[in-house]
Amino acid sequence: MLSVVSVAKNYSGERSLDAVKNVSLELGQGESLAIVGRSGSGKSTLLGMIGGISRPTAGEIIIDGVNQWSLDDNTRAELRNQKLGFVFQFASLLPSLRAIDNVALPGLISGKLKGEEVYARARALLDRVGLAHRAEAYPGQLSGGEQRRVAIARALVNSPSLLLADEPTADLDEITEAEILNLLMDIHKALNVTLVVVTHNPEIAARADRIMEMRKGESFVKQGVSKQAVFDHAAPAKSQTESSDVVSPQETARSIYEISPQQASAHRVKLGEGLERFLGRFVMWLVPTCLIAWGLNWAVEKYEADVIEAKAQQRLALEELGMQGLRADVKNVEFGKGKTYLVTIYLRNTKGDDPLYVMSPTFRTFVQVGTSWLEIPTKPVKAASAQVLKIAGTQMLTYEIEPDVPNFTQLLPYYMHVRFTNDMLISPRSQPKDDLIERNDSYYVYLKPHDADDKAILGKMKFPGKPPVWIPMPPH
Amino acid sequence: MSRIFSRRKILGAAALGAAGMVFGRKLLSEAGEGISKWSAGGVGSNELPASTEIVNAGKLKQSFEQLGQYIYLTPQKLGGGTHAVDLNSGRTLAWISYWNYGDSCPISHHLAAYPSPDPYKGFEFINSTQGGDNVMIYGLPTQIKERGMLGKWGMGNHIYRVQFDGTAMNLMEDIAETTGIGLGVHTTIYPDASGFAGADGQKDVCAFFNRAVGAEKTKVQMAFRADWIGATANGGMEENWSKGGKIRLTRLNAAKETGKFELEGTKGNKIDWEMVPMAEYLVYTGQLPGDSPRTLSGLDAVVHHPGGRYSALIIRMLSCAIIVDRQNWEPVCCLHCPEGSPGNLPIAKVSSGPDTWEIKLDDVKCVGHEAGFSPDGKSFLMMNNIKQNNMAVFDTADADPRNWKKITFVKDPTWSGDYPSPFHLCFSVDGSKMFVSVLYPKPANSGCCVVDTKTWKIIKKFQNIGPDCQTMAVTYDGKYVFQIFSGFQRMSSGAFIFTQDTLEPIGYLPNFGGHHDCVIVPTKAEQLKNSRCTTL
Repeated sequence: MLSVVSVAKNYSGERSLDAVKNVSLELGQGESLAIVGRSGSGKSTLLGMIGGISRPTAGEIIIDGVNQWSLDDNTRAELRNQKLGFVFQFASLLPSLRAIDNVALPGLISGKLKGEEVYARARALLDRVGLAHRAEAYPGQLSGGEQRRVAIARALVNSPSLLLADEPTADLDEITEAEILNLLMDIHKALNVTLVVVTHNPEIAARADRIMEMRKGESFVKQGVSKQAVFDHAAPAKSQTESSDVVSPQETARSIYEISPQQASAHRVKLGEGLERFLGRFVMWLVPTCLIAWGLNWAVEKYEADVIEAKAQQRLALEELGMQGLRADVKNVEFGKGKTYLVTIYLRNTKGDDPLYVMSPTFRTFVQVGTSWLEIPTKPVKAASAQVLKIAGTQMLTYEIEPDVPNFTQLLPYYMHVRFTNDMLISPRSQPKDDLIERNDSYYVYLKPHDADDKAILGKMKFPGKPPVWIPMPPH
Repeated sequence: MSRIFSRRKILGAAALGAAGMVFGRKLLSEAGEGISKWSAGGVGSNELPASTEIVNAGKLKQSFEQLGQYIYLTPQKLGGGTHAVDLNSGRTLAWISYWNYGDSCPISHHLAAYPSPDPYKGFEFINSTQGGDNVMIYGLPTQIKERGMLGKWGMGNHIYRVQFDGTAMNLMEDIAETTGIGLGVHTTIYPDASGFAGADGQKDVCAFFNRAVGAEKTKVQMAFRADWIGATANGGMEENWSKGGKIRLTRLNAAKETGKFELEGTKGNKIDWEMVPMAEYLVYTGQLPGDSPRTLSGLDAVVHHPGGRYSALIIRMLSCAIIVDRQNWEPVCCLHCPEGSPGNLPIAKVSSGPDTWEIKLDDVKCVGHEAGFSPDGKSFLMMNNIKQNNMAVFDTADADPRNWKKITFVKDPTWSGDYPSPFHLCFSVDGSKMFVSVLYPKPANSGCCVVDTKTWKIIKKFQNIGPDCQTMAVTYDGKYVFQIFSGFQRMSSGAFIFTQDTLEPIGYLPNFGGHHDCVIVPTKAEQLKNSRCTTL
């Protein structure tokens, strides 16, 4: 099955190195060969040349009658894919694929089988290596031993004639190493696969039909290693070859590689199934995520809208309170001392029992001169007028003004045209936070000057009695 | 999925969001608790039905809806002109400014439009202007008087007849100049569109005019003056009215020499300024100057019964309405509106040279204001203001006005004291609802309410519309109601719109300067039942 004829590998350079020197061997179908030797003895180099990975510098490697190094790259790659299975020192599984996908991948690449057939075979192989229950697991979720089993199953998916294993139990603990070794040997026997295993462990080598030792690139045939010693270490994982139910290699191979339509349909795989699966899972996450995000956004938006609406309502309520809940106007104006006047305004709470608080009422007085308003001195008569006022019913505020303006405009003969402004901050609470509204009132009156002559006024205007001190303008 | 966006975190955030919603709703509900609540009330009480809905119009935005093929007239008051707005497109079709015709102080006050089959091709309207001195009662630091603009050409009290010819407005006639009667307040078209009436509470004069067309000149059909003779003529000013007295109604005649009346401009004024709302107070306190405030009755308007025969002379200082038969121009009776006063008072003729009638009032419990007849003519309403704040409802179904009876009052628990007060009114086209503007003092926004005309209960309120809500108008297709607000001559103004049938708020229309009245030009005479004819 495998014929290695005078193969050599020389690495040329500043210091030429003969990694492998004139090695020849013959292996029949179903035989096993262990290549042992110390590190740097050329074991892996030889295996790489057999496996079509490293081109020999001399000699031939013939697999099933084909000199693989005489083939072009594509044909040789196809040969490797179809005839060879390779188990590396490390499992080298693709981390983003499940165990079943890693196993099936070489079969899918070969294109010889339909997808569902490849997956059926992969499942059978995983079952064979005792990992049927871990088929959906990702490499990161598998132990080192499990990863090696997956790698063995992967090497077998294309039903290879020749299985190459390059120190397959490196970095494994002793018991797991024995398990993997048992598995390899079991599969080798059960599937009648030709096995070449590279190891520096003599106990592993002892399980092979033949042992070839490499020393400095040269090969030597070894004999007489006890196989039983190895089996004794592998007690936890009993070899199937020792089972009482002995199954022939042909039956085992058939059970794995000959897939019925029913089995295949049970593992039907469509092109892009993985992508679909990915998209499915993506959508499965995306939809609830989007729903939750949308719901969250809606909830936040609704909450914010409600808060804004609540603030708008509060604003309207404040406006209503400030504008309609409080009446304010001039109640009376009378002569004061000298040229002063006493102006009384009222603040009336029209909303009933709930008090209003009016902060810092700023009362100012202006007299029309020309087409402008000239401000005149104004001061509250009582200090309370300048404080925060609690308005429960009607409250009067009195101010003293002194409009000593000689050239005021007389819209009505002899009378001053006067504007009062009353700026108030209004709140339903004595200690407001944001529940505060400003109101700016203007009241217009005509004021009779202290020194005006009533007779002269009555000569220009008619009143039912004495000309009044002040004439209010209706709030219209 | 990364740790940042773990499923648990997202679910947690969603739960927080849900909690936020609940919290927000609670906030909202708590915020709404400050709004007035209304309780149910029985018929005749001043409480509102539990179903009365209150809408805060301040939340609404401007409306650009097509409101039908109607032209909407709005006088600008201090702006000195009037606009005609196409409600279908929102365009101002034409406008007139009386300054341009030599009026040195035009205060475009009230108006009424004659029906036109196609107002877009032309129509006529009557537009009164206030007395010029009224420009001085709004707190404007003006020098208009010093500059002589309130003289001969600025006295006001014009009655302009204006024609829209499909393109522009044309001043056809100053009826005050033609007839010698200058009246500056309400104008109302007769139900058959054959003429109009005008009145002025500064003069206590009303007059009835024929309808002139084109270049024709208007003629006076009849004019009356209503004087008050207080029972305590030498007492206090307020007692001059409250203690009762007599209304003396006098038929006025034109001077034989000129064929004109002597009432143009400020001639005949008893008080120097308009009878604005609450101006009655100033009369009571002697703070309103004028030639004869003690004789003031406040004859400020005329409204017409839709039957076409009777008109009501609205007397504000006494809250009454003298019913005049326009077939013979004789007064028939006097509806006295205050609660607790007799509803229908007799009229006695006391002289024939000139014709003079008197009505005795034992007391005057309150002043009145605007008034109107329902479109079917079966009801008459008038506002009682200040000391009473309600609307008297009269059953006017009987053919003889002397049998018209005061049956109930429209009330609202908030209509207490002098403000807020019911102000202007109009009716839905089907007559099932009455719309009433409700006036608040500045700077507060006014509103309006809807009254069910079967129960005379308020069924809906639109609050916070705008400052100084004035007259109302309805589209004759039964769809919309317009509430004009004028902004006390200098604050915000506009027209608030809601539906006649479902009473749903639509929004606001802009206007262009303190408009004080609103009239939709009728296309048929029968639409005058819902126009500036039957109501103010």
